[in-house]
Parts: sequence; C-alpha cells; structure tokens
Amino acid sequence: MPEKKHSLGNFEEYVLRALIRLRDNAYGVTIRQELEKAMDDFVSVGAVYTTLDRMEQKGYITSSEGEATPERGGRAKKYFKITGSGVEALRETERIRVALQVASGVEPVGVKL
Amino acid sequence: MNSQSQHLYKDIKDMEADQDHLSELLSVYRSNLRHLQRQAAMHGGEENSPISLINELSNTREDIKDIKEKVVFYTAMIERKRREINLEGSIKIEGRLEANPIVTIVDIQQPPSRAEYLLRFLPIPHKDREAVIGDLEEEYQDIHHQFGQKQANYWYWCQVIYSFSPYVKAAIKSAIKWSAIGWVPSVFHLGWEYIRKYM
Repeated sequence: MPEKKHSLGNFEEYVLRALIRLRDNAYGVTIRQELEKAMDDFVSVGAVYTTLDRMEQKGYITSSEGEATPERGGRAKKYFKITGSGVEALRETERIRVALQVASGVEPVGVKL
Repeated sequence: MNSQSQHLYKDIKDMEADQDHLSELLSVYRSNLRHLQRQAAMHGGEENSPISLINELSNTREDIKDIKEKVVFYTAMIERKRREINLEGSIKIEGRLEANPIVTIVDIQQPPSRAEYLLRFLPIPHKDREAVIGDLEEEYQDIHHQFGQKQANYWYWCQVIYSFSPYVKAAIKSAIKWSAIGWVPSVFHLGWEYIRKYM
C-alpha cells in the first residue's frame, strides 16, 4: 500500500500560507483580514474557523489561547501556528501543481516555502 | 480641561489599570486551568479524577468566570465615564489616554442584538465559540470606529449569515461520520447472523 500523501484544498492552502506570513500574530481576525486582502473577496469568520478546525484535526496546525482584551468583550484570542506536517502538505500541494503545469505545457509559477 | 473632566479621566485611567491587572490574572488562571485539565486527563478524564482535583477545577472555572464578568463590567464603566466627558476636540492628558485615545477611551459599541441572538444558533464547536464571538466583536469595534455604525452592522450581519453555511456543513459531515460509525456494530451483527444462518 503506497504511503498516503498530504492533500490540501484551495482554501486550506491559502489559510496555511496566511499562517506562515502572519507568524506569531495569527489569530481569527488577522487571518480573515489577510485572506480577504489576498483573495479580494468577502471571507466569513465561519469559513475560516471550520477550515482551521479541520486542519487542526489533520495535525497541520496547532492552536493556543491568547490574551483577552476589552474590545473583545473580555474574550480570549486563539492563536494558530503551522506544524511540520502542515509545511509538508503545502510542499506536496505545490509539487503536484508544478508537475501538472509542466505536463500541460504551462510555465509553472511556484511560491517557495 | 475643567477639574470635573480631569477627575473623570483619572477614574478611567485607574479602571484601565485595574482592567489590565485582571487580564493578566485571567491568563494566570487559564494557564492553571490547562494544567489541571492535563492532570485530569492523566486520571482518564474529569469523572475519574480525585474529588480534590474536581473541586479545584470547578473553583478555577468559577474564578475565570468571575474575572471575565469583572472585565466586562470595567469595560462598561469606562464607557459610561467616557460618555460623561465631552470628547469633542483634542485630548490633552498625559500617559496612555493621550498616546492612544481611540483604543483606550472610545466607547465599546454593541453589535446588533438580533444578529448576536442569531449567532447563538450557529453550531460553533464549544472550544471555538469564545474566540469566534471575540473576533467578531473586535472587528466590529474597528469597523464602527472607521466607517460608522451602519457599515459595522451590515458587516456583522453578513458575517453571521455567511457563517451559517460552513458551520452547518461541518455539523452535517460530523453527524454523518458518527452515524456511520454507529452503524458498524449493527452491520457486523447482521453479517454474523447471516453466516450463522446460511453458511
């Protein structure tokens, strides 16, 4: 049985890339804003959190509780970080994309991790 | 600035200092709670933990709840004090209020109550609920300060409505997964009955 490869959906890939970019400041608000800016489209908080939740179950990211502020009504932030297997999944997705682009004769446009 | 305003500004600064202290305290209690939860997990869950640990967990949760209520209370009090001052024009006081008047003394606005009510029906997992509602409130405040109430309310409503679809889909997927697992023993049982009867 061949080893199971990591696979990512488009939105999952964008979220992981946002986490890499935001580093230690990746929580719901900043992730959503980063995605909205990059995609130039409305992104709901529900879409972000369900994706984060799914990827946490897969082991691609980890979460930790942050500080509470008055602007949040005293509610704590939840910070997210990408794990080694998350980076691996991103690399695998990138590899597949490049392989398909080469096969179809389209010049690959890759983003190095 | 008259003496009445100066007095009110001093009150606000004091309350903000208390609020900061409470936020630090909250972090300590949360860290303690995580530690206790890890201990409970080592006993195989809270149900199987010693009574002293269960009591400690319960007390810590109560303390966290109290502190959170106090933080909200201070937020409301700061808002009330701020309303008593006429904030039109420049703010000329030393320290934190001068450095960042928008964040520290502009009042906390309440998101549309009906949208907040609707939010209760979103099947948000318990572990994410606080973070999701906090994020919505934080961004609501930002938009309110930048673009006004109408835009902020519109944004909040859109967030609540468009969040239904992903959360409902996730809940359905989870329900299907668990119901499928629930069927496994029945399938095995039927298979066993079939083998016993016909083979």
